[in-house]
Amino acid sequence: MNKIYAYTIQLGNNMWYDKEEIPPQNPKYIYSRIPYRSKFNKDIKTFRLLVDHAKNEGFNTIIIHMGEGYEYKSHPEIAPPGAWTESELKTELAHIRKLGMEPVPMLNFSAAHDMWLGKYERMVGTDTYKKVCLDLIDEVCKLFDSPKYFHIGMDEENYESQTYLDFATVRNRIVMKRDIADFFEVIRKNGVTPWMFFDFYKVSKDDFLEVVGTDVLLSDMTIRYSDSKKTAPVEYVELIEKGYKVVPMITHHFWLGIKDQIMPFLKQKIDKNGVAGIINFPMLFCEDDYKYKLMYEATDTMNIVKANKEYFG
Amino acid sequence: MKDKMFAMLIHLCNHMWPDYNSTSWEGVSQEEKDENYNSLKIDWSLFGEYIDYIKGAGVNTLLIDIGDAIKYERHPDLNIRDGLSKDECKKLLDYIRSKGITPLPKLNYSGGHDAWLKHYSNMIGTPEYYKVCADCIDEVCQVFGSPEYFHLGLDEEAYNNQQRMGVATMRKADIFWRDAYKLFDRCAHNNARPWVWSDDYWLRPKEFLKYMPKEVLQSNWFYHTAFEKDENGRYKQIGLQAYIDLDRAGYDQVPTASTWANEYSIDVTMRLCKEELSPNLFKGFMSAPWNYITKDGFNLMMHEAVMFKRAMQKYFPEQVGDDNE
Repeated sequence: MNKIYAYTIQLGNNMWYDKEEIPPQNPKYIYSRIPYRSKFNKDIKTFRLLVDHAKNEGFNTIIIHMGEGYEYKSHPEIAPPGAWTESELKTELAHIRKLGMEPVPMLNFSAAHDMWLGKYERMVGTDTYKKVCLDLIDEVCKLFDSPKYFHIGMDEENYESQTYLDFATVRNRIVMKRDIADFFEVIRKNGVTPWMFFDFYKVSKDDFLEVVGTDVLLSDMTIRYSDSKKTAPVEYVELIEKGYKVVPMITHHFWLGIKDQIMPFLKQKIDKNGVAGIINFPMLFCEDDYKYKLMYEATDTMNIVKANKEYFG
Repeated sequence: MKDKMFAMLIHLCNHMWPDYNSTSWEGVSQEEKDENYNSLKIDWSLFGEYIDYIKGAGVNTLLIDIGDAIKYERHPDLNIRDGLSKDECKKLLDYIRSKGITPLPKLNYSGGHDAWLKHYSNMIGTPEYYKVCADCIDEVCQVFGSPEYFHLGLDEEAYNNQQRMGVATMRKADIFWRDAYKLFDRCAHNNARPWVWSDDYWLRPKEFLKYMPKEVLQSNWFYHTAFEKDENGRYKQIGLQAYIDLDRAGYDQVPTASTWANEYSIDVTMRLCKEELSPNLFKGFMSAPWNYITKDGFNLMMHEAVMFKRAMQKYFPEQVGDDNE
């Protein structure tokens, strides 16, 4: 299996916060505020720039974090005016493939990151919610011509991560397990391999192991890889031992110094044979204003990979 | 400078931070270390593009952290291989001025950020140390042609900022102020108004208000967005409350923000300045990218400049050029 070097680009914007104004301020969440946007700024030029830049840096996978940024035919009520059309997105998918890269869709169904679902984010647990989610997954699998992977997010669905929202929504382990199973069923029916953040493993290991097969790719929303900060995802080790493949994540959104921590952590703790690649997750809007930071993320991530060829193979 | 200062901070080298014996260098070859200490961190082929952009973003002042990036005549033992001659430096400053931007100098005399002073950085308190400090201020003022302001740094002189350094140096309050006054006087001797980082206020607020002269321009800094107030209406973070306290105490300020920690610092800090500081004491605003105009650092430098421009368009639109320029 070739390693995955994945760079994430956002189409939508509303995965993190439910207000346009960056609020006052629980210091605990100072970094994570990415304001809600009621207006949509489509920037195809920057999207293309980032794809080309990622290719030049050595990425082989582009994760498209869809959110509300696409005019879903099954649920057009989700997209704001000006969202990406089918023809626009298909053109860019073709471009990505022409460059030899794999486009991978991502729809984050964590209740902490699903403001993009509009009114449905307030319906978690209902039949309506489930129908919408499954419709979207099915539609996007077909839109991407049965891609190799489909990332469903699922990170940070806990109360702590939502205290800054108007509403906090957390599924219990039974509902969560049921929903994940349903999502996977549709994904697999389309011949696609699921990919998710493994936060649910931290909530209930047995339930996670029951519902998430070892074919599922796993990542973690790691902010820091320092043991001293007690934020390093030691669960990586357990999951690899159980036969899963993991794709550690790098983001510079919180802290530029992650580059100094990730490799010492991986080399000391993680069997390289269990590492399927690396994912860069900038968490910034795909707009001209942010292109420099977005390009920096890509360059810095692949610099880490290039400097550690013996680890990544 | 009658109008407000809208400044960007740049560094020509990285010789202020890890000193030669820092544990940061563990595992780095001697050759690589020597190369770092002999070279500048600037790619001149990118400099023009950067200057043109920040001008369009509303920047009217470029604060240049010099360190050992110029060749000192009175102290050649500070000089590095790639340091700029005084003539080269003057040409650079003329170029910046030709773009409508005022260059101002900075030499950081904090015990935590003075690795550029080499062996003198471990001689704080000696006559040799005070002489080299004064001489460098004199020489830089001469190169800059009597600048209106001179930034002396003086930030982060605490142990936790120096744990990696070969020798950590923290002055006690009375020594710190004695030395600060020597530096202030030397700036005044050169007709430059002293300018400092204000974070000593976080550690020793009473002494700060007692000893810090109003003539010294203040740059407090806070790079996060946690603008939370307590039941008394004071910001919970001292780094944030310092803006208010310094204002009420009558200090002129150039508050400083940075995208170093998050994207929104510049926007929210600029808003605080407009809403909460006395207009007559709010002398301007500074953005500090804490990176370099190099191939590796350019994208982050530009990112900071773009965020600065967006905030300027929001809060000081009259200062900003057209997007299509």
